[in-house]
Amino acid sequence: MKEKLMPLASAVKLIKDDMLIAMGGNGMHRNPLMFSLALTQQPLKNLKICGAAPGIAADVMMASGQADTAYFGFFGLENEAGLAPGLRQAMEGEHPRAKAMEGS
Amino acid sequence: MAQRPEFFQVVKSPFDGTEVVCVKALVPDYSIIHVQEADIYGNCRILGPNYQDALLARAAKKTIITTERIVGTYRMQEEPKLTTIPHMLVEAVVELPGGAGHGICWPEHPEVDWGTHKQYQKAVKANEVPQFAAKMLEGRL
Amino acid sequence: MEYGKDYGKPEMMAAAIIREIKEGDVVFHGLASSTPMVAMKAAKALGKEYTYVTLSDGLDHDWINPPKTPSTLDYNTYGGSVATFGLDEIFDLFCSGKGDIAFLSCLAMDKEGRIAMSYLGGPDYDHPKLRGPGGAGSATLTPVTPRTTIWKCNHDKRTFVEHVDFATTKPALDKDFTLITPLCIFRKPAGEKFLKLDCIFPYTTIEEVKENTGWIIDETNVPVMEPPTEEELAALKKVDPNNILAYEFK
Repeated sequence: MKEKLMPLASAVKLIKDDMLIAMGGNGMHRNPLMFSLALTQQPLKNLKICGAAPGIAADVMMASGQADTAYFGFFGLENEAGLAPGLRQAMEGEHPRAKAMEGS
Repeated sequence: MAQRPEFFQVVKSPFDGTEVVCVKALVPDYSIIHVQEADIYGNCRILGPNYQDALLARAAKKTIITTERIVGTYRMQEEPKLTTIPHMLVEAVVELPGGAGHGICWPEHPEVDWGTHKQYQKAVKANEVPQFAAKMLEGRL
Repeated sequence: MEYGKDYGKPEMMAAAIIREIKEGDVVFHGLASSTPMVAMKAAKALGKEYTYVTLSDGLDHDWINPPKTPSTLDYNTYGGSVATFGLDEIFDLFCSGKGDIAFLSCLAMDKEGRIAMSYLGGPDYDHPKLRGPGGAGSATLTPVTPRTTIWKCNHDKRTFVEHVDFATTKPALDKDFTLITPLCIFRKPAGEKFLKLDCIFPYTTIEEVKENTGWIIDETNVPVMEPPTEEELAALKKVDPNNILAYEFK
């Protein structure tokens, strides 16, 4: 088996413009949130986000403007956290900067 | 289907002619998953609900793992059934305690930190998410 | 049983949900589903023999642990489970005909049972006024579930509208479809197209239901459902000492 340890700063460099990335976890639960926040520090654009139920980590990508498309079944933060603010900001109004692709 | 024909189409089943909806498969370039335990080779154990993470790891070309802690491979070998993600799917393992940020990561972080979440909501409204992120990442990068 | 004194709308809805569950059923609820979560736990506490599946991967979790948050993704619906059964398995199970009830919700609905979860308002799908969270599993589950049951904790004209512009999902013609609100229950039996008022709750009237519904209700005389029994109320208190049930009614 190959060793794969690397620091966060190196791992974020694996993500490039236009990539489709799937974020794990669900809602506010066990999301790769720190990784997603680290991506906002990179000059990335036109990312596509997916997941069965993208949550807070994916919401960050919508809010930062780095993602232009979201594929999802359910994209919300559940109950107390409510509707995903980044998703709504990116998709509502006259000039949305992101589009939705809903699966089931 | 009307909205996104590039992903949804109706076809007739070759077996009995019934109409079925076909959905084009998504192949992510990377899946990014935060787990509680991983070894240095990328074998991962998730404690509590897996949600869809095993599926995401198999669907993506490669997986990046952030983990609360690194554990010895013997942990996986004790009961292989409990390994959610096998190493060959993984390209990178980042040791990152608190990798779920202000969200929940059972059992060490069983509740959302609502104070931080309010700051996130403010940052979204003000279009200042990268600044919010820089603050959260202080010393971690 | 006195409304306002012994029980309120949350308890009535929870009792209505409990009563939908029949012996031997396989019953699902998804995320953001605190009302069915508490009701389903109470049904277990009452000794109802059925299988509880949800997307925390837990199957028949130990209901003795009280929920501390309305999040149904929480470890609480996983802990003490007898087996794990994830969402992929659940979809597969329901698609192969082995599921019985799926509890789902909506942003808005019309008389045909067409559900809006994607967006409200705005000129079209790509320019919404309010971007909704999406249908979750509802579009997959509604066509294959024998008794899809929608619960909604508001009953007003903004929620129950004459026509939903973009339906995230809609009922299957050949299956039962039920809607439970804080005031009443509507049902669309298999083979029919439209929701009919099935019964009202003890503290309301047909007039109040009609006043708060955006579609025309033809029924003029429907039975009144019994209020929650002492056993049902005791079970709800037992499984939910933190009153998570009240969350969706704020």
